[in-house]
Amino acid sequence: MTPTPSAAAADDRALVLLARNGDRDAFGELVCRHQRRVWLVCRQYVGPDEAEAAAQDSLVKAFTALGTFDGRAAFTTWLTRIAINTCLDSLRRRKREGVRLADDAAAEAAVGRVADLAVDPEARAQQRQTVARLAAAETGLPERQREIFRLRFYAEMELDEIAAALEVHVGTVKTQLHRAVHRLRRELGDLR
Amino acid sequence: MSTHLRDDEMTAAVAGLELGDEAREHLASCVACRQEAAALAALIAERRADLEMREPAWDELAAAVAARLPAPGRPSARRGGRWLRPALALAATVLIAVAATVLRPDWPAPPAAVEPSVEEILAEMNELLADDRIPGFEVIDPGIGVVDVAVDNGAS
Repeated sequence: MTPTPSAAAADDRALVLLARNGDRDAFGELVCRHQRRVWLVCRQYVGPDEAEAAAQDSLVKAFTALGTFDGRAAFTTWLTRIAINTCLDSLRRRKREGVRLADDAAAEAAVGRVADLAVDPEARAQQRQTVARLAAAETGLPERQREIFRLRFYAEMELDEIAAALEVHVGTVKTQLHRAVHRLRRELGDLR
Repeated sequence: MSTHLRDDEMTAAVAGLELGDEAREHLASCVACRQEAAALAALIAERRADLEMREPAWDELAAAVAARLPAPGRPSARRGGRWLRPALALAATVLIAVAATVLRPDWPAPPAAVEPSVEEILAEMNELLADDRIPGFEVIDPGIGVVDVAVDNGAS
């Protein structure tokens, strides 16, 4: 049986208390529970190639900062915020160093890595093309819209989770998501 | 609802945002609108599947994190973190202020009240006594006009 979100949050808090007292197994359990979410979030910011390193950095930072977790937000929200900040720091560093950002690279890479969902070669080629168009259209979105769109659809976050992680009102998340989807629909035209 | 979804309603349907009752009912019954909404949703799902092809080995990621954790005791060193540092800083400030107040050697003494010397008091008294206009002296000084008038009145 899957635990309810509130039960899972209570479990997380109990594990945090144990981990704070030096129980590494408890922290290991927290890592196992949340590493996928952290990786999914990191991937939206730094791209798939660097997502694993960023996820590792985020989880280690979370361990050293466990004492600052006050339990006002859910542990997963607190952890997501650490992951986002870690990625933004990394992006700023890369920008300073003149390294190319993930968006362009990810959009290009998508062309060659589309899953083989279509068996027919012609259909597969067309599928690759449309997914690549979506990836390119995403990169044209304003930063905030792109961030919220990706957290919603690719990091599988609920609207209220996104709002808590980005410290904005949930209404702002809805508005930005609406604008992002509207713009993508306009860019991609008729997909039927 | 006879017409198809409006543009903003279609966007909301694709984004998974709330729809009004009428729009929701229309979407449930209109194949064309459902297809349009599903088309972008399917494309997004394809892109997500593409991205998930590169998921790491979770056991390895967890092991790598465990290997990078700092030595035991480090997290608890920051316990009470949010308030501990400001409280210590405040305590140190108060301590320094108290110590400076108590121990400061050249703290200026409060100004002492200036007492006039005996000579100054006597000189002031002499000055006062020399003034003819001091009230009460008219009564004992027969040369003063006021007393003369009083004597005259009594005589009449």
